[in-house]
Amino acid sequence: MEVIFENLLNLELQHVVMWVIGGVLIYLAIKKDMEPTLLLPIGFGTILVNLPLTGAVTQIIDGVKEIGIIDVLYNAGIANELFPILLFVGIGAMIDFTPLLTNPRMLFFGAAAQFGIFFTLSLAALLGFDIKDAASIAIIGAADGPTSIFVANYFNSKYTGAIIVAAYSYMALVPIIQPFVIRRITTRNERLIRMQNTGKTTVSPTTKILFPIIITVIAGVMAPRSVALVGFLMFGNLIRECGVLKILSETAQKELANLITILLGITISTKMQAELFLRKETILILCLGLVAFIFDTVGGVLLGKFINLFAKNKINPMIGAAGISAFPMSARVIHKMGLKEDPQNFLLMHAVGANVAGQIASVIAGGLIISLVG
Amino acid sequence: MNLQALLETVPITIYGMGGIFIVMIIVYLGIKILTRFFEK
Repeated sequence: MEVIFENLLNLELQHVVMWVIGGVLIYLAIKKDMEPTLLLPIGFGTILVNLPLTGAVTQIIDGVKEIGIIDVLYNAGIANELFPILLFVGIGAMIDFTPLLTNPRMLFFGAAAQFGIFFTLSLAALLGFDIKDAASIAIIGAADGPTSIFVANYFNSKYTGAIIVAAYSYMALVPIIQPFVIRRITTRNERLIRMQNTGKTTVSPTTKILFPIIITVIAGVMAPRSVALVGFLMFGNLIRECGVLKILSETAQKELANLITILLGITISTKMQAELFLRKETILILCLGLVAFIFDTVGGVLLGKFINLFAKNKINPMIGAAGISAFPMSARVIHKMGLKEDPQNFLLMHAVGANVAGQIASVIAGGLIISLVG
Repeated sequence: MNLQALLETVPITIYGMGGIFIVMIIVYLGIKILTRFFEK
């Protein structure tokens, strides 16, 4: 009997706190539908890795090192960046770049909406974070989970757990964060602007096939560190658009993406161990993540306002906010905001164009951050 | 507050944001060329 209960003596308050945090993540995933595919596995994993002397993570017991399965998965799939990269194949296969190809001006909103990354980098450095940790925190502003994991892991940040939780939580909170920020930096008249359609709704299949190849070459030449991310994203898209690999495309979109997502969430929870997560910096990182999302939105909207100073055909500056990578949520949010102001103002195609541009821009930003800081 | 560290991030911000815009300009031109040559 004693053997069964002796582990209870190893239970510490910080373990219980982490169980509560895990429970909150599971609650948010199930009840609030906040990024459930990631927050639920992370929440469960948080409980799993914070059981006293848990066999799920590597422990030294009686002088003997016992390898835990979560650490095996971490070394096999995240330490070498395999899982986020493979997930990008699935994401690439899911994205239809047509709204961007018919209106390539939207690319610039994707670029502007990465401003939050660099603003947060400066702020984190000012607050005393080491430059590599500051860069890892700043990449929350990429609004893209796999990119955050990739960069934080590249820099071997000790705050990876907090960074990933912040990234996925704020992605789920885009429908709250973005409208709040947009209303404060735009006038009603700006929000009412109706944008002209380009007149094009489709592009040729050849264009769709060449696009991912050209993007890979450009990104590879300009920002070589980003080529793993961009390359696999575009590889997935090429599978989708080539027209002869329908089964592989469907597999990448469904089975591959789902399998990796299951493993990614539970594996990343190794960084949710109490001694790594329960620090005062975690609160700071959650705040900085919010700052990153706010200034991403500000960057995109301000570019729209700036263009309107010169442009004959005015741009609804709300479109700029869709330049963050949270796809397709951000585009939907902007579309709904447009409809709320004017039920006849359909911004969806423009917003989707900016949103997929954000996908490209965020991975390039990740590569550039690695090149410039690393 | 680490002002020195903040100043060190200024060139990263300039090169980073500049770099993203330059890549996007090149991608923009690439798309324009693509859609012109392969219209339908």
